[in-house]
Amino acid sequence: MHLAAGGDARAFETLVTRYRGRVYHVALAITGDESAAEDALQETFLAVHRNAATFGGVAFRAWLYTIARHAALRSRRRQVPVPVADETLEALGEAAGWGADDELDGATLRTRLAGAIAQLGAEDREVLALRDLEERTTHETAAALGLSLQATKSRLHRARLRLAAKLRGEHHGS
Amino acid sequence: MDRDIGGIRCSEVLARLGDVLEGDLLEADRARITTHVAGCVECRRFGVRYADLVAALRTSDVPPAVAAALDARLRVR
Ligand SMILES: [Zn+2]
Repeated sequence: MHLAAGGDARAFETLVTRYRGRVYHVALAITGDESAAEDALQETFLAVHRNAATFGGVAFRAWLYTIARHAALRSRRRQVPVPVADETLEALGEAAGWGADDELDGATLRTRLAGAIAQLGAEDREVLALRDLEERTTHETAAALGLSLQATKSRLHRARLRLAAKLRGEHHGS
Repeated sequence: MDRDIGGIRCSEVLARLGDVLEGDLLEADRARITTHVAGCVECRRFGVRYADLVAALRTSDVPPAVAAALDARLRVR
């Protein structure tokens, strides 16, 4: 990367390396589309670079994800709604491998993560983006979703189980 | 799979996995779940899978091709 001279270039590169994964997956969670997420990722870091003065501030992460969300909304294409089935927790767990003896190694998990997120419904993607990718608190996530704490925790748990099921799906026909 | 071990069933442990990860449990529940998981290989295995998944989200990187395209785009400017 040659965007800025010397130390600034290194600082920017460090920042990109540290945050690109979460920015990409947040954008993927918003768009549900890997190529739209890739566009949003690039737009986000170009915008970060244009506003380089704000690097590393206390509110940097919140600012970064705000940029990422706007970029993702701009690059979002028409979405096919995924109906959210009202399955029991046990059924969701079993699809996710609860009680099964198959393994999912870390490398495979990471390789398949983007594709699995893209297969989820918008509600699942949104709660995962807020709580697990942007690492907002449960309270902040609940406020952003307009849900109670309990409903937020329940939605998050179910979204994680559906994601685990998608990650497992290529071996087990989901 | 829904055994009662330590005074709590597998299905209840499944329902509480998010709280376990957050450390958001009352002492009595924590003790029962700890006992259950110590005696239940399925819940232990699934608990690890669940924690690994959340950790993967929180430390995710981009696929190599996406990283290369980003690098190229930032270089062009
Ligand atoms: Zn159990």
